[in-house]
Amino acid sequence: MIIAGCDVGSLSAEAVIMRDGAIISSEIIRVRPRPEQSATDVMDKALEKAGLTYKNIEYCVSTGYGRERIPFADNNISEISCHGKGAQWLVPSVRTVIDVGGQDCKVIRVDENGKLVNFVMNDKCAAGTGRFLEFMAKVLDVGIEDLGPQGLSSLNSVAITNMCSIYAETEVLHYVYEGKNPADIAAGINRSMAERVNSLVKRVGVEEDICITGGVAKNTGVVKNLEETLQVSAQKLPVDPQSVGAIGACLFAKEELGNRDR
Amino acid sequence: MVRTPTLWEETSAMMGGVAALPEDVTALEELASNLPPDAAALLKGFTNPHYIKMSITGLKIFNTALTSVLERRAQGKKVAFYCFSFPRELLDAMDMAPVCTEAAGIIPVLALGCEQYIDAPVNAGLPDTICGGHKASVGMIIEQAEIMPDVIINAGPGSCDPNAKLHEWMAETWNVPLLNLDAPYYHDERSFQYYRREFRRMVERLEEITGQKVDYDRLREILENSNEQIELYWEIQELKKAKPYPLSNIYCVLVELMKYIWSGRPEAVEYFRIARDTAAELVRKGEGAFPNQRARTLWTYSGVYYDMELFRWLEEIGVAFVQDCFGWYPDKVIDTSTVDTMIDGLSDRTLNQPMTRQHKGAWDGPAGWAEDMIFLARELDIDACIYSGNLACKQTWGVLRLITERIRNELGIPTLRLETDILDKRITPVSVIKEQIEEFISTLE
Amino acid sequence: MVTREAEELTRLCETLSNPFIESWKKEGGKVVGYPCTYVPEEIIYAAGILPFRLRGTGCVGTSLADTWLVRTANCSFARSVLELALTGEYDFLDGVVFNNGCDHTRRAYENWKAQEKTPSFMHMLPVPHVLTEDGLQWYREEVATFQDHLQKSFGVEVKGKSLKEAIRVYNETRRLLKQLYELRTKKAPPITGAETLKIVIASASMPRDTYNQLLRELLKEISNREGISDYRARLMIVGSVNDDPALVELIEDTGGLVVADSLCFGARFFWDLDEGTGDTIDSITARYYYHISCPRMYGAYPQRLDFVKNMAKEAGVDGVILQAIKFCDLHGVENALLEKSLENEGIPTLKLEREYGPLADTGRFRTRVQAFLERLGR
Repeated sequence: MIIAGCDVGSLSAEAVIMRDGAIISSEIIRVRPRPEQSATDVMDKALEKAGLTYKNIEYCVSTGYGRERIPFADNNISEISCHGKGAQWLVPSVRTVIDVGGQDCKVIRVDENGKLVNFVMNDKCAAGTGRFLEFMAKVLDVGIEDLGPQGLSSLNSVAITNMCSIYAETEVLHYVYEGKNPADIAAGINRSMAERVNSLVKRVGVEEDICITGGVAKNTGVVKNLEETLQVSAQKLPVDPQSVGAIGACLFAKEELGNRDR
Repeated sequence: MVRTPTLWEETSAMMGGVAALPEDVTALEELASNLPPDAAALLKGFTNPHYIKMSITGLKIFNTALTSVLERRAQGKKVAFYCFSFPRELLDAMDMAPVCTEAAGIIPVLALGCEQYIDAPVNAGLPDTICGGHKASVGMIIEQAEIMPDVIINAGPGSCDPNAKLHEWMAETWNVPLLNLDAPYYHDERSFQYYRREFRRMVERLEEITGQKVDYDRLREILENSNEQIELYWEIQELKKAKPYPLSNIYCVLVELMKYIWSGRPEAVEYFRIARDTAAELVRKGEGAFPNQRARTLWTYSGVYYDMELFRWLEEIGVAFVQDCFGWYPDKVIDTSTVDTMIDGLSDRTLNQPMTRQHKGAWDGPAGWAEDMIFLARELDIDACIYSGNLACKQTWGVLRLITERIRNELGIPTLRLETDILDKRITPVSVIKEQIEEFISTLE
Repeated sequence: MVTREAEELTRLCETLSNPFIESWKKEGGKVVGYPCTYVPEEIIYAAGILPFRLRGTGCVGTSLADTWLVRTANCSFARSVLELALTGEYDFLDGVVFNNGCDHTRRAYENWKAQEKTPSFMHMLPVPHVLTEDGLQWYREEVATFQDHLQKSFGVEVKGKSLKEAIRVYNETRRLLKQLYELRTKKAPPITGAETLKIVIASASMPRDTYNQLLRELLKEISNREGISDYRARLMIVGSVNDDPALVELIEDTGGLVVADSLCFGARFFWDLDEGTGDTIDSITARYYYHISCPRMYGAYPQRLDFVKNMAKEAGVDGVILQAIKFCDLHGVENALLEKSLENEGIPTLKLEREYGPLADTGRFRTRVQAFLERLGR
């Protein structure tokens, strides 16, 4: 049985193909101007890698921001459910998924079957999303991928108190002008980020085990801060955290196929 | 399980250091420098040298009031949360432990910088558009840093939706009895009579719920103190008219806190007496409370409370915080001869408290916002108005343009419009507030 | 098949004024607007005037209203109504009567009143925030003042007989709409939530007698329809005012069917009949004072919770959507209470904050509703 999942977000698109319950191919690309393009491009690549064609796919589920516009999808399911499903399949003990993406942040509670139990989402405010880190990395004049390691080396994190990213930016600038150690500033940024995410987590509560997905999961500094604030260790995912949504979509494809065949 | 020490106990312990202080600016500044930044900023607002005696007295009252609530609670007295416009004198006379909902949150956050309590209610599902003061008081209970009340008195309906709704939320969520006092829309005899009947029903219910009766002899004593406060308050209002301005900017915010947390007690009377004496002396000498005064300001709603140092900073740049809406008490002396005159007097006074008085009805009605602000601006010879727009105050934001235009048209006075949270310092940094005020004041010259 | 006129009824929600109102006015009829379920319409009707419930229909931006009310603290519905007033869209009204429903509406009234050009009749009818006998008396007095002002302004006289007739007509509407809602409790409801809202809106946008007649016709047709059975879940909507069927359509597009509500442009508008006890003014006043309350009434949360639970049970609801317009603290705080109360009883809820107006954030909304349906396992 060959099934596929496709996640078209606002910054990246992922495709995952499974055969008989195992992942045989996956691909990530930066989004194209139109979701249909992104979906087709990424799925083309994933199919090529697996040596398959669209005809081989028995069922495909799409998810993400552009999910309703994917021509080859048989059905679409919210990225909330897909992230929850995918994460719990990868690490069966997971019950809370914290997805910190480029534009939004979600906290997802699932049961032992990866089924959605509850969720909360922040997609209006930059604070607590990858965008916040982007602003801050620019101010510090570092690559966004450096914020994590840099911050981890700090022994004396600065405090960033402002909730609004715009004022926080000014705060960071002041620290730069004052000549504060960039590692300490990076640590402050990571901590502020973790606090915002933690706020969202509290709205829906935590049940262990937890895992962190989305682009920001690659920022080790934020992850460590979040673990400290929540007093819980996050389970590591065996795959690129950005592909979790597409994996979940793939799993739903399997279920939908099962339902259809019944 | 509520943690020990509770947040108020912690705050009280910190304040204890203040209670031991001599009336000396250097001593206060030294204490401040040894405290964490939030507490230090709080204390810095009280460092006007002329008014050090008043300031220390005020700070000691914070400590006394907080300790009193803790003691009474430990003695098993019933804890009542009341909206700030409600007269604590009544609750005192019922031998209860009265806690002003708003002050309960504000004081610890100012002293200990506990922002997580502001966040807690939103994490518990409440909208983030409610008032910062309430967020703190509710948050500390949600986070089990404080103990729940036994009864809740909602004196807000009619004048402020978020205030009233929050009190209801507390009652429903914690399963605590709720007493509502509906403020009628108008300000005429019919309205006062309606409110008196509401008030009396509330007193009856309160006695039923708590099992405590009002001790009218005690109430008389307490009200005689309040009456003295009122007389002193009015004297000070007269003294305010002097030029240069003879009071420290911290006077206005302390007046409010005195009322909310300790009105009717001898220490509160003492506070007013010291303020009056100090001001009278300065006026006699033709001196101001601070040098190089440039502008007399009327704050048309609240002050900015999340950084008390701002009050002192304003003095340093020569700006007098002459009056704010929340510190405006057009109170009459209460006739203490009979039970009826006392209860009716309390009822009438409650309907006249800030926010209720100005905002239960039309913005331009009798005793409405426009009438009061224009009266005060004239009386106190104000140069400029400042509206420190707490984002949660939707009822004032909704008619801000109307009132600023009216004030400008009638008196030629401009209004600075600030956008900030009343208690959460993380929303608009105080540096931005200061910039805006400085720019505004310079345009007056 | 229904008459063209009955069909027209479901389109009245698309515009502010409409041909019914136009012909009413052409024949010399007067129209008075009102914003809220606490205004006693029968008084207006009995004076021979058409009561029109204020909406924000057709408002695409609030740039003018935002210079009076503010974008950063005031409700987008109140701002939209004010915008329409300021841009002349409400010029067809001969008057308005507001009440102090909430901070936003009462300030919208005050800003409207302060304009140079205003309707010749403007009245504020303050309603108590508590349900007491004293409050009822106060409300009674206010209604009398309102009636007096209305009569003098429009040169009409309201007699007891016309009030009795008004109650009869209004109760008729209430019965008919309750019948409509009853149909929605079926396993295969014959009508969507969006269409239901259109019908409810129409009740407050045209002469009531004609409305009743057309609704009777529509009801017959609707009850004979084949039911809708291909839905994923049965939903209920609770919360802030909504006069936009597009919002309900957005929800129903995901596959959920809205079969019940506790909304002021919904069940709360008409659920309680006038019991007709005592003097007509007294019974009208009692009905409006005690009707299923808005969160503005303090001390009445338990009754509102019961109402929601009963409606949910009657309609076999799978999940409840608790929505509030940003800055609406009355519903925002109430929804926080309802979320806990309902979830504790095993009723799944989805809490949403929204803006009133052209649905700019449809994507966000859809994702959440879709995820909610997925959570319901549908």
